Amino acid sequence: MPSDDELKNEDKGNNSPGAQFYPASNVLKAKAPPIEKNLKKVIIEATDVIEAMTDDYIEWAKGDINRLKEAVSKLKADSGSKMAIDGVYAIAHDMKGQGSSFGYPLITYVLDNLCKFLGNFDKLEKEDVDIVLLHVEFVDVIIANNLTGKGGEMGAAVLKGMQEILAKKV
Amino acid sequence: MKYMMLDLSAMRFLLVDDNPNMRMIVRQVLRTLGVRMIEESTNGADALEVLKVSAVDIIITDWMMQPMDGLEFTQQLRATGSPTPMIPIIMLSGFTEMKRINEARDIGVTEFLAKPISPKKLYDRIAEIITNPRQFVRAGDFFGPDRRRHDVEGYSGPQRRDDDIKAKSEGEERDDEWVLN
Repeated sequence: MPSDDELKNEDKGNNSPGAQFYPASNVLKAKAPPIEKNLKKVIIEATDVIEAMTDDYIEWAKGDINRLKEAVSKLKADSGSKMAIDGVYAIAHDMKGQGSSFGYPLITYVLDNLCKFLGNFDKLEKEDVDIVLLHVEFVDVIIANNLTGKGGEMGAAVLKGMQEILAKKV
Repeated sequence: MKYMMLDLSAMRFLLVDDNPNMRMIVRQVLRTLGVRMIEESTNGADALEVLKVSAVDIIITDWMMQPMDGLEFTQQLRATGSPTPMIPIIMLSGFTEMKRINEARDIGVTEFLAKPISPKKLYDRIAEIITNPRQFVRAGDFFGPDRRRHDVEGYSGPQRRDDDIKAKSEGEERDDEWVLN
């Protein structure tokens, strides 16, 4: 913690009553100097590095889908308990964060909807669990059929199915 | 023409995420950006142990983890008595709702980045931390980076960051590139 001596309130705008200000540290600036290197090229390389992991991602996604299915089975068995909801949410949330990185925005879209849906409940009724299962089945279809990007006709069908689910929920 | 970027080779990062695949993705991106020293932890409690023995410069942490999530981890780092209360923290999370972003900011997170990861956005956040470090403020219960860069009540100056502009124009969510419409 900075000492009292380091406290400075004299910066322009630091006039909030009762607030104490600690000056920004420039240590990292000295540690990471600018170098002559093409940032644009490096960013493209980094993007390519992610793309090169796509085959791995598909295997991860298949494993995650199996975990999701198991979690939904538990959700059914536990009569939609909060703990079981959280189990499904945690897996869906992780998957949601990865889909678009590897060219599968449909996965991110479907699982974002699932997370939002689950966030509304402390307990799920049977018909709600069926809705959860539909989301998981959509994700399964997306990976099994390699629906990258918007996924063509099948992707459009998934989207339509999602919209129907959302309409029912409303 | 000279192309410039920051040399990150002397920086030590701590990557905190319970998902090994996500850690692998971020690790590979960081390496491509020139980072050589990367520590890893699977949750906040484990990360606190790493920080006891390793001089970390920047933390990149997930939000949802067990037993200690990214928010509690940040809280502990910013708490009185913490050995590294001013360490920069980038929260890399699947949450995109504005209320979540504000919650993270109010706990003392330095930068928030929504998954899926974008190498450009990650580099931009790191560069922002390095080239434009923020002063810290203690006000009431809050101790953390000065939040006024983002939304000062009554601030009428320009919003310089692309994300600020984007967030305003898109309403509730940020960084939602994956949206299909």
